[in-house]
Amino acid sequence: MNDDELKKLWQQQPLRNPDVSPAQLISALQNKTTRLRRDLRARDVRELVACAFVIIVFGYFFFNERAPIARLGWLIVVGSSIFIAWKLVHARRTTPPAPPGATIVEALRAELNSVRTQSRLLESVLWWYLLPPGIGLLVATWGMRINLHAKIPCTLVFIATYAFVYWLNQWARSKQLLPLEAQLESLLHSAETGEPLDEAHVANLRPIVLSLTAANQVKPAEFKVAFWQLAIYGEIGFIGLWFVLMCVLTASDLNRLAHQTAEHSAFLDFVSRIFSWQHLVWIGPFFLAGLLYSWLLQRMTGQAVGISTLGVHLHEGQNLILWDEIKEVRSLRILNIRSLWLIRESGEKTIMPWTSLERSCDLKAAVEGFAPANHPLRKYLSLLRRT
Amino acid sequence: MNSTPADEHKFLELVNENRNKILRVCRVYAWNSADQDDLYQEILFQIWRALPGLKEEAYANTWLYRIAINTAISFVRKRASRSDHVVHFEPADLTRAIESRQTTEESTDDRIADLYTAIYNLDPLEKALVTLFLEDLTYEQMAEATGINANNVGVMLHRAKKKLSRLMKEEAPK
Repeated sequence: MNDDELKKLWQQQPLRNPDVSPAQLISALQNKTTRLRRDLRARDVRELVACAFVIIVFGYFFFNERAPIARLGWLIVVGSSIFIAWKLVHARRTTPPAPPGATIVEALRAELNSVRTQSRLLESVLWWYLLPPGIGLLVATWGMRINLHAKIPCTLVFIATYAFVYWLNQWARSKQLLPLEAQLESLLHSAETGEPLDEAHVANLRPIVLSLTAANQVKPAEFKVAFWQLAIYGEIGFIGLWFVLMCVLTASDLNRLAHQTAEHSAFLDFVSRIFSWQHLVWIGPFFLAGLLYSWLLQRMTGQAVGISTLGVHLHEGQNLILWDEIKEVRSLRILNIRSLWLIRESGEKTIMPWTSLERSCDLKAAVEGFAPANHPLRKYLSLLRRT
Repeated sequence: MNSTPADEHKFLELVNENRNKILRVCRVYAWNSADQDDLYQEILFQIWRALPGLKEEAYANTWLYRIAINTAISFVRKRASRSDHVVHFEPADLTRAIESRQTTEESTDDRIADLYTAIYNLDPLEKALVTLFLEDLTYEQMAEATGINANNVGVMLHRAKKKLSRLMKEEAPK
């Protein structure tokens, strides 16, 4: 087929016309514009509220603290929280998306700029996000007039939490941002020089080839992580938060009263004050906040796993692993939850939630219906609950 | 954008004149009819937002392709990240979907199907250039729509067409 025949075929193809009246269209677009503005305003308000919350909580500690070193610590925490909020807002404002009328190259450049900024933020997360408030917390902890038995575990918890957050950020950078950055660089380089794309990056960019007749079958059956699975850990987190907050409040109170009792009774006094009724009454709101957080998390994560004729769709549909690509499946157990490692021939492993997914029966039916016979994933269907 | 009746009229006129172009771009970048509908709406929204920036009507054609292709590339990258894409299958629907994969109908035009299947296999830039080529844009118009230098457009399009031709031969019935 020559060029003209191709163009003719292309331009004369039958197309399905969307069934929308002009009035409906204008009204839908006006609504969408309003929603977009509202979402942007809501995001700014959320950030201000989060910043205000930190300032109020740690400001309270600052004003109620007598020990000057501990006060300095709380002041560092407040200052570094403001700095972190500013840094995040500044990073977002200096990397705006390309305007709607931008060329492809301009849009790619804007996206690369934004991804690079995010990548650098994660790379240097230790210096601007973790260390400043971390130093403040440690200075406050060691500056308070509490005994050594309380200071050492607090310090260890802080360090362990910070190490975990650091590792999580570096993992996200290497798994998500660096490959995306390399892809965008390769695309931009190709657009600017006319050279072909780097083959290593093409594989990830190339969409899955489908026959058009199969295209309408591709929409996967999608599954969220079950609410109660999120709530278990959400509740542990929030009750833990309550506990830490009460420990800090109690330490701050004791410090203010400057108790001079013996170490053993001071410790018992400390424990009994943590679990006083004034503190216990706050468990209810924290418990509800845990439920709310889990609900929001479930809404935000949307579909965790999709199963279709093509394969398994992960990361909210952005990562598709074809059935044939999965050479081996291994189970991973963390507490009561079983996840699965999907292993490709190259050895690349991708984790997939499994027993934590909602609607086990539908999930089972989807895998039984869509996965090829004797696929290794089928071996793990027996792990799913009968619901 | 606070729209006036004149803006609305201009927008509707632009969309009515170019509906088929937009639909063809949607078909290149979105796999199934549900995604095509979503992408179509998204492109219209971006045109609506960008309309005040369209100063010269003479450039409306390349301007529109620019918006459509940019939105489509971005849509492909982000399409699954929104919660309103979640499809809750009822058990009966799920069974039907599973059964229907065994009995998919043949496309009415196999050549179009082969062409789309071949285009699906191109990378995003090649796909954009091939779409603009099939839409009968000149190299200069393609350069203006994509921001790629006109010489590079020629080189890249030549390579993409060769690849497309090879892929179509592979797709064609033996």
